[in-house]
Amino acid sequence: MNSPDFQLAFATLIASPQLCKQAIADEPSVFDQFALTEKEKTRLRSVLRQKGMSICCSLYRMNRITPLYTQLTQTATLLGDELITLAEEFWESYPDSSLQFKEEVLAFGQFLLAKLEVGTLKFPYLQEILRLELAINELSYTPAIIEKTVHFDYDIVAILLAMDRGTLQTERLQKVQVAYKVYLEEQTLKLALL
Amino acid sequence: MDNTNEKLGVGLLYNASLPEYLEHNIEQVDYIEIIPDMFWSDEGRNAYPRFVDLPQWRHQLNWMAKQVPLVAHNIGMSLGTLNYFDKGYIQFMKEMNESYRFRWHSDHLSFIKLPTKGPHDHNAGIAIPVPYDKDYLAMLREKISFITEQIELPFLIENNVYFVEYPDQDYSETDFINQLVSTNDQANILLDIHNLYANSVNHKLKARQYIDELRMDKVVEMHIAGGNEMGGMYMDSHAGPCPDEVWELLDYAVSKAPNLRGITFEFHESYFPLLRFDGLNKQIEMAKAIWNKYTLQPYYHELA
Repeated sequence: MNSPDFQLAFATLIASPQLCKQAIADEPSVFDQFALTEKEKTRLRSVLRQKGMSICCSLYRMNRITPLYTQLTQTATLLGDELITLAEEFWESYPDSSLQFKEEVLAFGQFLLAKLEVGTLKFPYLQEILRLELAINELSYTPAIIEKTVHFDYDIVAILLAMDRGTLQTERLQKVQVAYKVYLEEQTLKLALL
Repeated sequence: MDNTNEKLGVGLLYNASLPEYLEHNIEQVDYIEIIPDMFWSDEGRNAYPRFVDLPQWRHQLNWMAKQVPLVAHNIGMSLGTLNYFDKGYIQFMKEMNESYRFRWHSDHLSFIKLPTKGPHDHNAGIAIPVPYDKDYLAMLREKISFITEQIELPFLIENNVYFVEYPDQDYSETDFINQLVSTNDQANILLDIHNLYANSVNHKLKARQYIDELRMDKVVEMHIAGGNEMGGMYMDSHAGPCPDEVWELLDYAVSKAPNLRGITFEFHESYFPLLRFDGLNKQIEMAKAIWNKYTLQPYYHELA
């Protein structure tokens, strides 16, 4: 008789290559977290040692990074190589993903904003870019909301233009309190200074 | 109109790169297959309304529905999850079908969602094949019966691509699928030729033998696609054009599938720059050549 815990254990292992390594090195420390039959333990023992298990782990990571790349394109550009490190930290702290784009993007955005807030992440202009892209995410998936007012500490248009030129890291933008109306027209982003 | 046995021909699985292509090439496709989950946002089990339209997407869907027949390919039923069945999702699919009159609908022989206490289910990130065991067979039969009772359409189960194999299963994959569809007239098979090819590369599975063992009279749709290599395995990545081996397998499979109603080409939208309009038309033409080779021959109809 198969148990729901087998499915939970398999999914948990796919989400964590570190846990896979731990299960191979110290099986009870992982398997005993689940109510598994001997047959199910035999199956997990087998799949953990198959080449395809690392493919499953990679596919999981690819499918979780896709919403972030798709909806937070400028954030991803700004973070560069740091994105993967931060995404992995996020996945560890937020393992129960629905993979609904809206929720996944919002949760990752809030995770980054919280790190910026307490100062464990320091990235110039990231807060502005995140505020903008989280607003776009909400507009994209919540048809009842047709526009958002977003407040920035630096002029978001100047940031976007500098990113477009590839000069954001070398430019020193003036700190200024501004608000924009953000809306989508034919799926194209529109910004109106308030 | 009774569409019960209507043969459609060759179609495309819709993705976000296709609107411009379809606008200029709609006559190339006999039908469009959609993943319904792309057209709304699921706000969670306790939300009302739970499923919220995404207007731009629905606008595109409404346009497509006026042009060609539609077929639904689900990714969200998670039929293989034990102690879980999202009847609210099935109810919404029923409403979608009433609006769009899908010719058939389908989902995978796997689990991807795991229930949580929260409004959203945990998503496992990849479709994990079910073990081919007796209790899974019984559970899946029950769920498929519910689906076919609720939505009066042929419901197709797709064969998996898999990267790990479970030891000591009660059935082979073909035996499991055959038994799954044997007791329900509306339960049929979506044979993904590229999944079969990937499994043959990765696990030394004999693809033609698999086709010989499968209830080919129950195959209503076939999927074809391209793939690529990653980490020493061949991936079902829908990476552009079909490899030669997939065309050969498709030819063999179509020759044995008297009730086949459609062949669907799938590609991931990120590979559109590789295919472009000409590349897509070429894949469709090649599939149509195989479709016509068998469906236009008299003996094929005798088989049916």
